[in-house]
Amino acid sequence: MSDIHALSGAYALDALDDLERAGFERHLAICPTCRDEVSSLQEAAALMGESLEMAAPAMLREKVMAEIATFRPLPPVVERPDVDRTVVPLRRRRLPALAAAAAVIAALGVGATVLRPGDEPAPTTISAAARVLDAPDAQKQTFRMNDGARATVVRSVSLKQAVITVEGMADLPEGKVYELWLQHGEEMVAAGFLPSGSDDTVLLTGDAASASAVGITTEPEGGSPEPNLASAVLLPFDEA
Amino acid sequence: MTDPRPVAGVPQGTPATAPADGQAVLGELLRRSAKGEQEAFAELYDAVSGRVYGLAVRVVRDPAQAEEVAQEAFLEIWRTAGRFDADKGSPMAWILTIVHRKSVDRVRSAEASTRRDTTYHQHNQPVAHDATAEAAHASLEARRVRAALQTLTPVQREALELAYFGGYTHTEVASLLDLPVGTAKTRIRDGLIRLRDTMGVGGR
Repeated sequence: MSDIHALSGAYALDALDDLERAGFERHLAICPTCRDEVSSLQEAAALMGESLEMAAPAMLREKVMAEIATFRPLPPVVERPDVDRTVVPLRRRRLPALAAAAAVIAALGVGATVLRPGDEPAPTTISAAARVLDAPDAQKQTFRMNDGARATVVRSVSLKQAVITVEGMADLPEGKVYELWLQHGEEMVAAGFLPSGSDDTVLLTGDAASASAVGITTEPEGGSPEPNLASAVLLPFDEA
Repeated sequence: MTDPRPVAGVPQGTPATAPADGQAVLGELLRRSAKGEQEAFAELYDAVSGRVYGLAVRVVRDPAQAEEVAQEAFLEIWRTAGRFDADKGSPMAWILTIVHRKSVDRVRSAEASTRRDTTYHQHNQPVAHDATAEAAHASLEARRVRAALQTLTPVQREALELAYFGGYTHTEVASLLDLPVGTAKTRIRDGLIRLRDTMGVGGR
């Protein structure tokens, strides 16, 4: 367990740099304790600001009212964080899709383009993940696996990207990794890894807007050209 | 304001920032704003614009830029009013969190290199004593908060003020206060927790 929790106060005061902020927001997405603490500390921080009352310039009211008239308020976020779905191992009827994916991958020889952990500079990954989590159209779904592990998938159709956060995944034996996939129609396309295994937040590579599901499989280190069906779980996206 | 509170002492467990009914009114105005009611938003503006602008000026310092920041903040409040959740906090804190974030973002991008390179250590002053603060409205609530801040250790208080009013990151705060890197975030958290518990806010 890192000391990332200790950043809650600095976060509530906006005293994190951009990178730390993005990292902490990824953590917030999976840590209810920190979310509660941050809310309570934001209340305290606001107390410091509340006493600074100054008459606003008279023109500001007109400007604000004119500006808001040109924007519709955003719809509320319809979250279902606690409506966990039970994920069952991949059903037989998905087999053709996976087989087709394997065939396509083999035909194109794109197995080598699978992104390995560490291939992508961390800052890019973090800010890109934070952008998805912050996106106005972010859709969030939480799934519970049979073994009690949880996975949260956040997708922004406008950004065409998705972020997956997992908690409590079983530790894998030496030489094995969790690999991520995006299902496109009848194809499964490699979409990265969960580098640190059991608890992780990862931006999936590839176009998530047109994908119908995220798959997680257990593969030999380095990834596989085709998903290991016996280990697969499938997390379907809501309709966009 | 039918709920006078002791000024000198710092009572434990009193309710949130504004009187509860005031917060309830703001919450209702946000709910109506979320449905696109501009009249409700105008009312909300009148109720909070002094605090919004006051905070923006305090952090951004330049009045013209503070006005822009306040305008940006109000637009965001309007657009995201539907995402305010009364179960998670008070409307005033929700609003000021938006204003503060925008103010800090502005101050960092606008001042970027110059402030950090040349005038960094000139800011090594408790920020409560500049001209802007004197213009601030000294309310009963403000005195309570000041009294609560006085219960913090000097380092906690300075760390909070540099971060919140100065817009510095915790690493910069550590440098300004000659603390080891990584210590300021702890001081900030401890100080905020103390302030929260003394003022009796955010409890659930």
